[in-house]
Amino acid sequence: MGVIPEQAAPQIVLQCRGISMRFGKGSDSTVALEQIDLDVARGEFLVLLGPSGCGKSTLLYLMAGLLLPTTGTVTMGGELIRGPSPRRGVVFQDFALFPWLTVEDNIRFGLDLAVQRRHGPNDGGRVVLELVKTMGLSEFQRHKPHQLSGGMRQRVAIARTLAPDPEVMLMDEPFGSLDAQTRAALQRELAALAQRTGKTTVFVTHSIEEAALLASRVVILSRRPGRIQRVLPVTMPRLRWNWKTEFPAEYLQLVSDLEAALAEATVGSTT
Amino acid sequence: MSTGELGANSWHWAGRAMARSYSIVAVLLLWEILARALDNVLFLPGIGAVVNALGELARSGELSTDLASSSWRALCGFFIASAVGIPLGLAMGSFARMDDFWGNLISLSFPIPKIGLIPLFILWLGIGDTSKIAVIIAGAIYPVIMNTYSGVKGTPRYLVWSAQTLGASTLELLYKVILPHALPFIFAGLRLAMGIAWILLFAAEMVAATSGLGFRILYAQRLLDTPVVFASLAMIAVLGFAFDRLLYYLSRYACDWYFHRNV
Repeated sequence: MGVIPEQAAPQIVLQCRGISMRFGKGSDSTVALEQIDLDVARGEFLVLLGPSGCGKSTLLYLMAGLLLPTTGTVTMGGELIRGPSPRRGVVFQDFALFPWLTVEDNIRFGLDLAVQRRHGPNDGGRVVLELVKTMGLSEFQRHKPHQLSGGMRQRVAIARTLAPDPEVMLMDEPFGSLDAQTRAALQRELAALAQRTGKTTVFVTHSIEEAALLASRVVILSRRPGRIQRVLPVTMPRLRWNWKTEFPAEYLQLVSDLEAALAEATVGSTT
Repeated sequence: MSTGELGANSWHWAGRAMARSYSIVAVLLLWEILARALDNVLFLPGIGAVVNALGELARSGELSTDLASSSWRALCGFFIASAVGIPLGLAMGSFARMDDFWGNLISLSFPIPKIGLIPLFILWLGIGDTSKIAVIIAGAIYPVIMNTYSGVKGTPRYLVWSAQTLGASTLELLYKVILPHALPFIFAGLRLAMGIAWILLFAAEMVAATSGLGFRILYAQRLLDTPVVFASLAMIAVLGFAFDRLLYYLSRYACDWYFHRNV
């Protein structure tokens, strides 16, 4: 796998062309996605929003290379995606931490593999330490996942994905199973993190508020079979609400726009 | 429930140990009462007679020879069965071709009574330790393979996907994710294998041996020395118990994440 030099990097990181996805065979098969054309630009925070069962997670897994499309192609920098790669990090809804490893060793996992492969200088220790600090995990470095709360586990999972410095971070409803307070705290941290690092992120959610808080662009998918119903660019600054004052009018407008678009997407495919 | 937290509460732990010994004390008591009521050493010797017999065996040096040769055979068989069974189970669980090749062979050969193989193994491998160890391997390997296989098959898809998106190759996936995930199941298989090893060992020693606890039982029975039969059986139970506990605590130590998970 070739590494594309920074200067020559195209604006588009991921490209989906004519994607459809069918699960199963014959009469039992279901079409999860149909006719998806979508580009992910470098540095953007793309949110895939849609009713449950619309195939938005499937689309994310196709981008990751964990699933392969029935028709169409997914390319990264012009290269066809044939399987998972550390260039595309994934954060799963149920954390998927390795339960036998400590917090630190979980975070190190991908980093150590990368260091082994490239035979590069091993400053992994410093990277891990920094991530542990920024994710607020300093007290829990030696803990194992079963000793942590859900919010802490998801912080570890995000740090583990960020450690090997992937070009794209793919997040599958990462805060879906957390309580409201923890979820709000993590949304705030993620918004700040994405702004600071400029990491290209694709984020799947069914929460309108979450989409409105985080996205620099929202793609709304219709009910199954999932198609792109609407694309809404967001012009607001990334850190759009300081979690102390009232919601800005722009945010509230975006929420109602998304509500209307989502209602349309839900009705549109049933008639 | 995390009642198994060792050292968390030593009083609690001591209480559990007491509670666990009541049943053993009750059986010993019943045995002694029955033995005294029957008053026939040949039919059912009491605890005193058995302890005396054990002391006699220890003084003559027969006990240490028997323990040494029996333990050697059982552990040899157990370790070889583990060393072959764990990699085979891992390979079968991970690669469909390995499963296709070995799956039916294992299902076919599993129900063959391994005690019935003793005459064959003696014919092929002679009357020494090799044939006895071979019988133990033939019996103990199945639970190791099957439990390892189940552990591999139960690896959650998301753990595999996590490792793959973090850059793990097939081999790295195997020993960094699938093996550690399967470890609690492997230990369950090893405990079964250990028990089977002792059972088969005594069967093998009763057919052809000049030392070992199995040989001692048969020899004593011929001499109508019932206390020695009981003493040897008790030694088998104690050895089997000790090795099972050892494996159990080893698994608790190595797989703390599995025993302490509460979600």
